[in-house]
Amino acid sequence: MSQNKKNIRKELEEQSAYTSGKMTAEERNSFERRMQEDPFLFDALDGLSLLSKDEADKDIKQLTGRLSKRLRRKNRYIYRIAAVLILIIGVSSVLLLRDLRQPSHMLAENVSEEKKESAMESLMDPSELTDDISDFGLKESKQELKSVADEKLSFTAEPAGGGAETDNEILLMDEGMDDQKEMDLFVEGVEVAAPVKAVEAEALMLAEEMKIVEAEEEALMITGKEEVEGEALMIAEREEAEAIGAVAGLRQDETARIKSAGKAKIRAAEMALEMKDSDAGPAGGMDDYNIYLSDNQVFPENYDAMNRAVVKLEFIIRANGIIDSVRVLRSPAEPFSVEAIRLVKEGPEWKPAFSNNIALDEVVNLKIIFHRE
Amino acid sequence: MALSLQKRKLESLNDDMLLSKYRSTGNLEILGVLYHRYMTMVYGLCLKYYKDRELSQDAVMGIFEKLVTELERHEVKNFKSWLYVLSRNYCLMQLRVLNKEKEKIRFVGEGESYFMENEVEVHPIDKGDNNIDKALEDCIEKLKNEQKNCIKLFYYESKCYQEIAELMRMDEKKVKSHLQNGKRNLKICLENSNVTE
Repeated sequence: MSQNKKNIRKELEEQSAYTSGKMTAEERNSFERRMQEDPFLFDALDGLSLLSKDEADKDIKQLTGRLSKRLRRKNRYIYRIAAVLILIIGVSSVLLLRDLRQPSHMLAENVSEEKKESAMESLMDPSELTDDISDFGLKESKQELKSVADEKLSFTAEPAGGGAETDNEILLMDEGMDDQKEMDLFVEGVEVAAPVKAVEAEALMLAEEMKIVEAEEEALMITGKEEVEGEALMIAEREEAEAIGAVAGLRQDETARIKSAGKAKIRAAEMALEMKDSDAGPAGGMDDYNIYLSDNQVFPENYDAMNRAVVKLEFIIRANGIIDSVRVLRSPAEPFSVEAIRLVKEGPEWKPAFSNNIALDEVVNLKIIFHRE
Repeated sequence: MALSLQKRKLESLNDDMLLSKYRSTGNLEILGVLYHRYMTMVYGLCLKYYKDRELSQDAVMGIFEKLVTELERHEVKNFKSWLYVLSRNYCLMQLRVLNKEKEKIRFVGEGESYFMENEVEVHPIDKGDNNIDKALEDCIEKLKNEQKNCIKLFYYESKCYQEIAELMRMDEKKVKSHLQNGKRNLKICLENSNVTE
């Protein structure tokens, strides 16, 4: 009954005896024959020979842990149902929160499920703010800022209604309010509570929605990419935390604080828009990167005969943006290869490829052209 | 504890029994025990293709997922060799995705068409038959010198790779590839001579 387990353990022991050279020639031949009969064993040993025994043991241990973790996830169906429930709870809590904050106003709106739209809507939060502003007699400046704000939020979804536009000004205030500045600060001092809450609630909702997305993804079991998704979501969550942090620290310059919170929101939303389908690329754009390459390259010495050289590199941009496995596809000479690799490794950051808002690993080919000055 | 006793019981079952138990109960943990049995080999296989520890580890987990879905579709008789084909194809497909350029994947150069084979056949010379029959002998003689010598030293004189490498003054890797190529040629030769078993 425990034959099988013993056999397997024996096989593994034999494997390690073979690789550590503890067998006689005859024993080796018979083991090798068995490997010939068992191509699986053959290939496996081939691959394992790349690692040291310690490395292999460590990796297997890690894998065993991962497998146990995976097994605890058990039944697919239950997981899917749980994810759907979380989604329902999430959506209903979003609706409830809105309901609590905006008694009559927001309910009339078209509350869409899109993250970016909800971000925009909460920024344009009317209600309490509207009333208090008029109390302080800022009606005229309101009109002025309304147009400025409208321009800024040109990518917004449907405005909530009459009152909505007025609030843009508070959150995205601009230079319009010179004389009024002191009064404004006071206004914001009073009203800061609301936008803070708005931002925080928004951040919470976004975080929850992200968790829903995460759960959904897991339920769909996109293999191999789970860690990757976690990273992408973490990046977005980090931005949220920054936004909350920015708002939470209420100090002297309230205006700037609220401004940055609002801007962080918009940035996050913009990024959500950008993150549709894109290839990996330098974070600052290819043009800037090319400038970096030509400015920072050091033409290798002793190659006076050459005025121009091209090195082709290939590397992987991981989902978390890390540059990995740089290798040279073509190069005129070793010093050029070395310099090319150095330029990439020491150069600006790269952003990963995205597909359906999920960061992915991508293989990148890069051509570096060396010019003698 | 009750749990570990159960696990030990599971581990004592052979592949077929574990597989049928999994089919009847749908309990993923049973499949886990079976997979764990071969996990080291799957890992080794992935290392061979990816040459990267992290990628290989991710692949091992990915292959497990594939296992779950494929088992629902197919009736598997020999788990070990089916797992081998599954893992190999998984790695090759992934590599194709990673290397977007249509580079010819080097290991295919060993002669065998990995994509075509659905079954892992055992070569006649490896069947363990100590009576190497006449047709096979004839074919061996027809081989190129290097391949012939490697085959003879390995199968007739039971020399190990190391010894053969020393005797023939070549790398162990070369020895292995001569053996592989020789076997492939033998197979072709045997098929051509229309040997019926």
